[in-house]
Amino acid sequence: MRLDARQFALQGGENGAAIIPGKPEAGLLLKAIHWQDGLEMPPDESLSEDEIAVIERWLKLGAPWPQSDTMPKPALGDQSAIRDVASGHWAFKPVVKPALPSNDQPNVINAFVRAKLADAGMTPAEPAKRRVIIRRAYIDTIGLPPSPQQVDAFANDKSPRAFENVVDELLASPHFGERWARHWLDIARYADTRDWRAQTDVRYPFAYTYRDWVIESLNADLPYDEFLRQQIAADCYADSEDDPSLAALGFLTVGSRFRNSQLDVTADQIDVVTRGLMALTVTCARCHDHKYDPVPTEDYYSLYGVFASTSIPEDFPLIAVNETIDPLVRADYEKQHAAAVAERDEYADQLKSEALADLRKKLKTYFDGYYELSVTRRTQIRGVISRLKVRETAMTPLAANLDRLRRVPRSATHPVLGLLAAGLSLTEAQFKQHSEKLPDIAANPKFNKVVTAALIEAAPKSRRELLDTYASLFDETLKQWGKLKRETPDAKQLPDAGREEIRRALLNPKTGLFQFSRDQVLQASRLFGAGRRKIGDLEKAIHEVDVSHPGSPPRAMVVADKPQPITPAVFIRGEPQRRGDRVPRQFLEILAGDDRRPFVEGSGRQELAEAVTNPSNPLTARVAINRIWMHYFGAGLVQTPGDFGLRSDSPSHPELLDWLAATFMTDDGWSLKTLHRRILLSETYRQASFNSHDYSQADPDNRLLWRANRKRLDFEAMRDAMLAASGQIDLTIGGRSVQLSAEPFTTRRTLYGYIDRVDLDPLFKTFDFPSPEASAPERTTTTVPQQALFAMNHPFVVEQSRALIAAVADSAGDNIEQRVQAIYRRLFGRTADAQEVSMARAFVDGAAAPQTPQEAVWQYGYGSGLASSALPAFTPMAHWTGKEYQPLAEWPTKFPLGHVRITAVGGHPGRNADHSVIRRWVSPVDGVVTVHGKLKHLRDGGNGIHARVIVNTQSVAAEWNILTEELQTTAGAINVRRGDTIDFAVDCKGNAANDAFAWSPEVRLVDSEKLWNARRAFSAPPPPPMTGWEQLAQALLLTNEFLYVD
Amino acid sequence: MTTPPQTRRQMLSRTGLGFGSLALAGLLSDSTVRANAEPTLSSLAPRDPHFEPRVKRVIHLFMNGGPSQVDTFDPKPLLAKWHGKVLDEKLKKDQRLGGAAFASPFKFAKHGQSGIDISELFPKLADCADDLCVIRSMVTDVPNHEPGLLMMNCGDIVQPRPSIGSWSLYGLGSENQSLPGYVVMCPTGLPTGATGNWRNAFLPGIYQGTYVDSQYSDPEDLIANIRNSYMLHDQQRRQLSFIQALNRRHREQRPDDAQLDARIQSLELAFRMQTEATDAFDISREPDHVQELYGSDQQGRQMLIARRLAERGVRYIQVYHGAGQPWDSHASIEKNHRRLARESDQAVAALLTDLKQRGMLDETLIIWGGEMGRTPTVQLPVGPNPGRDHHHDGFTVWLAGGGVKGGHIHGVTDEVGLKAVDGRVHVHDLHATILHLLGFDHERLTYRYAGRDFRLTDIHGHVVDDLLA
Repeated sequence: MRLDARQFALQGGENGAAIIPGKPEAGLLLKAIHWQDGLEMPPDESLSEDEIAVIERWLKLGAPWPQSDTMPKPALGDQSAIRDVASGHWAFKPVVKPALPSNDQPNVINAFVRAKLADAGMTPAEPAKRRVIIRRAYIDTIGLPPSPQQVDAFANDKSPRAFENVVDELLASPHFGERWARHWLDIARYADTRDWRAQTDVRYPFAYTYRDWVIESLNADLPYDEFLRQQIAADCYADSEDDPSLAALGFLTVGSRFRNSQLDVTADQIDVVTRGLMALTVTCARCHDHKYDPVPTEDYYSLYGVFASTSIPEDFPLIAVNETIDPLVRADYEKQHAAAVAERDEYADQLKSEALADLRKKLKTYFDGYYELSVTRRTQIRGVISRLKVRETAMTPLAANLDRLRRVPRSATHPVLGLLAAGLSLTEAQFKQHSEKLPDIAANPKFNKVVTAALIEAAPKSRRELLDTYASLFDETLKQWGKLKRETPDAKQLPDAGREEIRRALLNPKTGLFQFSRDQVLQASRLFGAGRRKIGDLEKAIHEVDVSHPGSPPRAMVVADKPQPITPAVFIRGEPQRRGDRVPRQFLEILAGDDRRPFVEGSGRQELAEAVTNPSNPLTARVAINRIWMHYFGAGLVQTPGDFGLRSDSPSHPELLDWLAATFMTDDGWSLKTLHRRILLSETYRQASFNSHDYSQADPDNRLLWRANRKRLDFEAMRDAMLAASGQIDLTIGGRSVQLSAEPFTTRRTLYGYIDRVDLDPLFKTFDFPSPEASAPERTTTTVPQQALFAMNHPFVVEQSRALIAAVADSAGDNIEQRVQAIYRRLFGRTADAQEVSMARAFVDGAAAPQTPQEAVWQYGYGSGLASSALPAFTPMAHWTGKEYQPLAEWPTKFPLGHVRITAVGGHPGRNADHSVIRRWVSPVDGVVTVHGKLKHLRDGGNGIHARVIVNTQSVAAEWNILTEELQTTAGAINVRRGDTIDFAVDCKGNAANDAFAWSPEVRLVDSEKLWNARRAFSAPPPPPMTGWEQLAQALLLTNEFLYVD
Repeated sequence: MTTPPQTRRQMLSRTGLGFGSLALAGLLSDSTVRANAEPTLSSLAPRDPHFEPRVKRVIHLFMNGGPSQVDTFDPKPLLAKWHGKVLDEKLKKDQRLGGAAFASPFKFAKHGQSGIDISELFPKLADCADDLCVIRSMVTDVPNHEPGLLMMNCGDIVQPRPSIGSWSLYGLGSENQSLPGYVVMCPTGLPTGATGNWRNAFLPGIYQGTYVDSQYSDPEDLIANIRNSYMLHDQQRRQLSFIQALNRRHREQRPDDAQLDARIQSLELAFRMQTEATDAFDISREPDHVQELYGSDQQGRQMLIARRLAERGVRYIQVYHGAGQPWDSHASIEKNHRRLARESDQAVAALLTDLKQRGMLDETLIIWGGEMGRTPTVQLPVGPNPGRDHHHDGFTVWLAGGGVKGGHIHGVTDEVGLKAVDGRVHVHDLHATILHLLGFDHERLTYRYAGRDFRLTDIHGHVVDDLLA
């Protein structure tokens, strides 16, 4: 029952029409709002009388309804109505190459765009200047700015093919694949980890092989249809088990694991394939039919069947990619891997020998255990172990070996074990029946004589007695063997042939009943927490080498079909316990049309891949082209790149989109580079971002493309441009991901930054990097102060500024103008005008002396400690080793400095009292402080040390003499003002031998929680302050000219 | 709150940031949201919600791990009768609980004029009884920490959905452009579930919670890169003026491009943030009597920081008790709950008192509670140091502040505290109510993503009118 269109109101619901024209009283609508005849609308509270009066008046007027030029939308989720509308929806119509609007435009893109502009009475902008278009083309295609030389060469190239040449070079550049791979990885929700999970190693150490495969495939211009097919079903096309293209399957596996919820992993795979590749939001149909789009819930479960018939293996296969791993690094990996494996094996061997020793010692008890565990099955393994005091590492493998004996029919003929196997394979009742025949059976000469004699003598009446008999027999045999070995250590066998045969049946290294494999023992040991932890640690160590060693060989994050594909059932409301109808594995009806056939090959992934890339699929090519267009123009032809369904934006240039899509699939053979080239060479792409006609009133969003859109560098391009400008950039392609925020900062391109899904580097978050939790068809663009703070204060940016200045100082020397020009050319690809030069000059000239903003609270030096002394009280130590401060790089050094140095926890004094080693605290507050801490003289021998607490190099607040002992050093209260110093000075008492000490004091502000702990604060020296030139370079990196591309 | 802009021009001129997310402004006027509107700086600008809000901000005191309701705010004298014995089927109803009844080791008393029951665990908070609106009938989906936390924060136990703080910031913007609008404090590490608890999911990244390890109080932890170590403040100001002079020249040659203005403005804001954010975290600026009121320990410090952030217009503040799941007292509940309560009682009471004295309590919503409660039983055999298991049907959360009834108890659990039997409040209902207090119809605060209009409460949730003043 609907009231959002007149026809529905007239049609009404189950009880009749809501409105009957001319009979206002008769329709159900009025009854309902009067709460009559059991109809109560609105249900919560009736309308006011005034409101009802209005409706009555309207009904009397004949219920006039505003004319609408569009069909009313189908009801939410009404799939048959939705399908009717969908058949006319532009995105679901077949792609047909339209006629060109005119023939006088050599470039088809221009033709279509010009035609639309002309209709609107607009003219396009002028072509962009050469220095502008080359930067734009470089950033768009390879994500790097052009070098000053490249800009100049192009600016001065008189050839009519000049730009074409640049484009061809860019498309052939190996960096093209890097730039466009990153765009693709947004869609693929790429990350180097899974989601958070307690006690789980979340890393995906081999996710990078997928990333590298994308880069290489784009560089090689792998046809787009094949590019997609590989990502869905590379295993179905692979030539070999180590085929490099298997890495493509990372598309399905680098997503989140959703707390190990298989249903959600599958939903994510469906999402990345349907929304990611076809901009259709199929996962909306997980709990019910899609509300707006022609996707019945059955279709979701058809695809669910495909991915639920696919699994992610525990171990990923090695792939034969052209890796660039240094042989030395590889060798080190092999060594470490082998060492970790050996450690685990050693542990297993030790467990095994302990287990076997125990088994031999308590053989009968173990057979009792087996009886309870496997014959009567009265007790479970934990019970057996706690009651009989046997080891799980022997009990479980023994039981497994005996079970195997019973299971394998052939064992019944074994001379030693045959009768045991045969006896145990009987039920108790059968055994009783057969027990009388035992002498006859045992008479068979193929059985071991010792065994048969023992059995005949014991005449077991039950399986229990049979086991007892064998246990005694084995026990006796092993005792004899033990005795013999003690007497004759090099004995090879027992003298009695029958006994020897028994011994072998037990101890034969390959088949012996009492031989356990490492795996068996390890598996058994996991039964209890302690064993589980220990083995877990050892296996983690192996995994750790595979995961983190830079030399571990690359693997592909594949999927594989399950042995038996499932026939899915619809989960009603998405709840797996509520099964609806079964549906076949097959493609989406709206796209497959009448030809839809159930998938028959395995999971059906290959058939799915073919369906996605079938040229008759109206979505795949359109979606791809729209995305590429979006990256070049700043907005797609369709502005909802992730949704081409019924609620999507209509394309601004539908014919252009279709012409490009049709040409892409047929004439161009799905070649992406051809498409890129077509776009790059269009005048539409090359126009300026400024149009002398202002059409912003008529077309504020520039959908008709009357100018180029100015674009901000995205995070990757911004960081890469900084590295390129500074000259520090490392242009290596591919390999393991690197932490962007770890110091020393990597100079690799940003797309190699480690993407931690659990704890995404804040840099990514600040700069609009999309959440890798789900496929991201486009990025949001925010401009927030946190981004500015990065550029203003982050050491990475400072490093690039310094490197830039160092580089231009080398090339341009001291001439200020030349330097400024060199900087401008590097950053902006142009020269500075006269005013810019003078502004820069004024800035550098007027810059105050470089100064570090905050004085360090803790400082490190040596000296006499007292201002009254003839020698300096405090000289800072200039050299930082990365772990300690010392006066010079050379250490120890000549008299009187000797071994003087300071570490986080202590140090060593110099060789006389005027060369005390001094840890200085500079007060950042006014107040009263006390000092605390343990002082320890670390070495035996020598004459000890002398420690002082000196205030403002004037007065000694406390002092101690100490020799190979430890004491608490407490002093105070001391009144301090901001900037006052408290020195913790240690001298050698005239003899500096054996004077290493530990003293890492703490200063506490009285009546407050505030404290300064020397050890915690110990760190590298503060960075040197920036010079005027460095400030200038940084300033230019912060300009809008740097951050935006015209 | 500042007056909302009525027109595009007003919005632009007030924020001075150029073209804003007018689509987001559209949300406020006609409740339609354009798909994935392009947010800029102004998408953190303050905005009006659907209707007159009752509070401006939320402070959520998250007792992660799950405090026991029968030991805190929901006394069950009948447990004493059954103490040590297995509850009979009549009392157990359909609950699949094993173990023996375990009477609370803590004494309860009625407090305030309203006579709210509070156990001896919270002597200081008891003085604020008349401000509390105690919900005894909270219900969540799963009795486990991680899903419980995700449900309480994001309204879903598995799917990565935006947290309620992100939704609030998306809907309301921030009143202080120099601080993050959504701050999460947890001392010594992350709670169970880690950053997923304050994720923005598909909402733009600026709406994500900013995590602060509140064992420290360094503003560096609050906002990355807040401190410059390379030049003096004056030098940096001079550098910025130089940048802006170049930016203005650049801008003059490029008319009609407001995104350039937004960037220019963001640089100025960043510069100011450096001092303002430092202030917000420096509790040493508080007078002694205020510091004493809160206490000088971890909880006291983070509650005091919470108040300073609230004062500065931070929209959503979440304060976790500690890393992991500290309230998870499976063993020694008497000892552990006593310790946990002692750690936080003074600080929580101080926060209420202080906000009240400053006239801020009326415009702030305080939420206190865990991701679930604990069973009234202990597992058999009863050891020497018994504790309680997880429990998700009938646990206690209390609210205080603007728009909620003070001195009020909502909902009833059965006579042993096993099941919420009257006035059940699912987490979705709590979410709907919180959004209501912030001025939102929870069904209309939506975001278009992947072809669907998503909301915090998914397809659930009802505002609990009985809680509203």
